[in-house]
Amino acid sequence: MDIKKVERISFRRGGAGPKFDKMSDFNATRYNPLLMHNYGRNIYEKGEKIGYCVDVRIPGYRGLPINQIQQLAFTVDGQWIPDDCMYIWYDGKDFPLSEVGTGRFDNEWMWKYQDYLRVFFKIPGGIAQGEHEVEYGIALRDHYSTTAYCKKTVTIV
Amino acid sequence: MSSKDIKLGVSLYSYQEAIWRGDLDLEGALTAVKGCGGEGVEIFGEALIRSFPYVTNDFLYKWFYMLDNLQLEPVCYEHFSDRRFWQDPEKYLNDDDIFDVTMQYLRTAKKLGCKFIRLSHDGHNGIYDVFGAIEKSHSVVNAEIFAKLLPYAEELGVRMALEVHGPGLLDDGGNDDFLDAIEKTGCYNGAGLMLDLSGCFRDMSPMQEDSYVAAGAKREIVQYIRAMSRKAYTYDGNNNVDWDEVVEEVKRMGGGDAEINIINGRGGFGSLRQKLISPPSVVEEYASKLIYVHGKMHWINEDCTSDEVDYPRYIRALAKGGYKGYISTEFEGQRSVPHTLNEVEFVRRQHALMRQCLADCAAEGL
Repeated sequence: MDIKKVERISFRRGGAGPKFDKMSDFNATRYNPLLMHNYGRNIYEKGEKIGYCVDVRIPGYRGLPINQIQQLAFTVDGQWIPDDCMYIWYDGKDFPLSEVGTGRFDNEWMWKYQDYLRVFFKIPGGIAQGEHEVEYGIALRDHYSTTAYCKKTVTIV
Repeated sequence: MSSKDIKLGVSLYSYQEAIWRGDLDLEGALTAVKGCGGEGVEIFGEALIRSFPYVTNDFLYKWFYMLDNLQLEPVCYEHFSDRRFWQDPEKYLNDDDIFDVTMQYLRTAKKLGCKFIRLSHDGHNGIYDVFGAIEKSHSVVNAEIFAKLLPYAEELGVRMALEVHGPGLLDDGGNDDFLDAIEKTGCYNGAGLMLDLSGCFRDMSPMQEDSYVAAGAKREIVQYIRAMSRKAYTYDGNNNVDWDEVVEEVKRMGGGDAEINIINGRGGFGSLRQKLISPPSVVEEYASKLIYVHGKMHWINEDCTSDEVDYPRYIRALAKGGYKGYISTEFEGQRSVPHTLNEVEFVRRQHALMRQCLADCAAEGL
């Protein structure tokens, strides 16, 4: 098909974004106070804490395939949570964050717009019950390279 | 040409936060459309159809019952064509994949009874490439994929609406490759141009004013600049503004860089000196060729007037130019100040305003 080429003028943005390896890469972006559930929970195995989890929402105006999660980032009481201890528990499945975007999952597997995604931090000993300051940043691989940020007090039971 | 050929609808995008919070389900959102006087609906599969990208018969039974009960018409199904799903930045969906993805949207639109998909295409911002920055991995539907889709869309009876969104202009040439494809294939019922009112903004929103004030600008000066912006881009024959004089006045008022940068612009998107806007005369010229209009807005005043868009002149331009179709509200103000604005109320105000404009056109015999 012979289609005339239109020369487009590049404006402002491009593929080269921040690395999203520190909270300051997120916290200038769109703040949404409701992106994170008010409560989290320790996860026990035979009475022993093996880690804890928080529940988070997708920003923007549509659900997206799980594979479009570019980065999930958290600090708890100011401490950065390393990627390699993060697991996604969603839709009856349990898998490490590192497997997102590797072809392991079908692109039609959606993080639905109304759903919380449970993120498990595999940190033996969990965390003390009580209120914790949690920051959550998310970067998506959608066309708009959506990012969002939330900071709030989460009660972890 | 008649204002009677223009109908009002709502894109459910407008209620995105109420839907996200769970305050409105699909039935609630459709009821809100009916309640503000809307006749047509635009729907997002990714937000409202749990089986997306597929649609189940169970969903369709409820969908058509609700539409029939509320006497609403399905108008448009929103399309997206993201390419990036992998950690490896070199890996992304190729053009054949994007063709397949888009075919699925077209088939779903047909099942939903929609006349259009709002095509996510590379001419979305006219000649400007805002999000892609010319990178293939960030591009969406290009003119080659579009040309292949045209005969299928025509056969399904679903048209691909080529949205021209700000900073793009109707006449900036940014959709010429797509319009050429329509000419070359002869599939005139497969697609057409649509206008988004973001290309007709004469003023910033109150939220933008607040953000300039938060960044250190004086509110009184920002409001003066806003008044000058409305004067410059309201096409009533009185729109000559000497921006150098405005800068001098800003200085006299005690303003500095925080205020002057609003006028001169920074980092793209032009400036108030040369705002990218399709004036009513251009909208009138294109009106008969448009297949759909998005009524993008961030704010409507309590008295149902708008500083942002000159609705009386634009709706008159559409009616006079022979536009036949829907104007679907796209309320977007909530995105600047999450979970603080009442989306239902802003849509209601805009519909009251647009209905008044249509009534005024009808009274003029338009």
